[in-house]
Amino acid sequence: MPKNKLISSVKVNELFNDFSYEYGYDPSDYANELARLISIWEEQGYIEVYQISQDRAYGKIKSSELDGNGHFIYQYCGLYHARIIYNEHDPLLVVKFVKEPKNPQLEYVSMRFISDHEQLFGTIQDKFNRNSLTINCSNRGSLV
Amino acid sequence: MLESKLEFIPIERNPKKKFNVVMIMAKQIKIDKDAALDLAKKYLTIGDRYVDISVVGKTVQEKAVSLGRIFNAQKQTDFQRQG
Repeated sequence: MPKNKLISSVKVNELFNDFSYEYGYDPSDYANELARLISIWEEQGYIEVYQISQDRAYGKIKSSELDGNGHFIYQYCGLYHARIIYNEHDPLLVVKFVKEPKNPQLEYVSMRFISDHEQLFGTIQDKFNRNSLTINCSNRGSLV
Repeated sequence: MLESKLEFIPIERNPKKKFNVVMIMAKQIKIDKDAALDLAKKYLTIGDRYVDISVVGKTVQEKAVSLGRIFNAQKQTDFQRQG
């Protein structure tokens, strides 16, 4: 069941351009699509957060903190992603909710960067395999 | 050491990268999945230390223009930072 998160506004992080380039995306190519998303969110004053694919729709966002099997990944806690282009799987807009400095009861949406499913979560095979991040088991524990 | 590598990421622009930079780093420094995910968390939260900029304009077109200006300004800043 999607939940509504109230928002006061949508802002762009100072590193949005840098991080998006890091993932291979030029934000200028998506200014119109991003503006459309911002308009939708600011006009309705909330964002719908969904967790299962059946609830997916343009303008809704998904929490990034669950893997393909629904397991909680604490390292991604607080991150959300949205599809930028209507009916397109990629690219994704990654956002966070930030408390308004002058009114902590309110939150605004902080746009962080553009990426895609494969770079954020790995391939479909990786996504459903929690061991896929294991690079060197023999070193496990030595550097953690 | 890991922190300094992470701090360097936003400055080192490379549009040709096809893989998650965290995974590349994990392979380079040979760490396991827990350490890789910790790196991911730090990488994804670096933006918390930086300012968020308001998008102005009432219509979609006006917001798109505002976004374009913000992105261009950020490109200039990035260019200056790389010297």
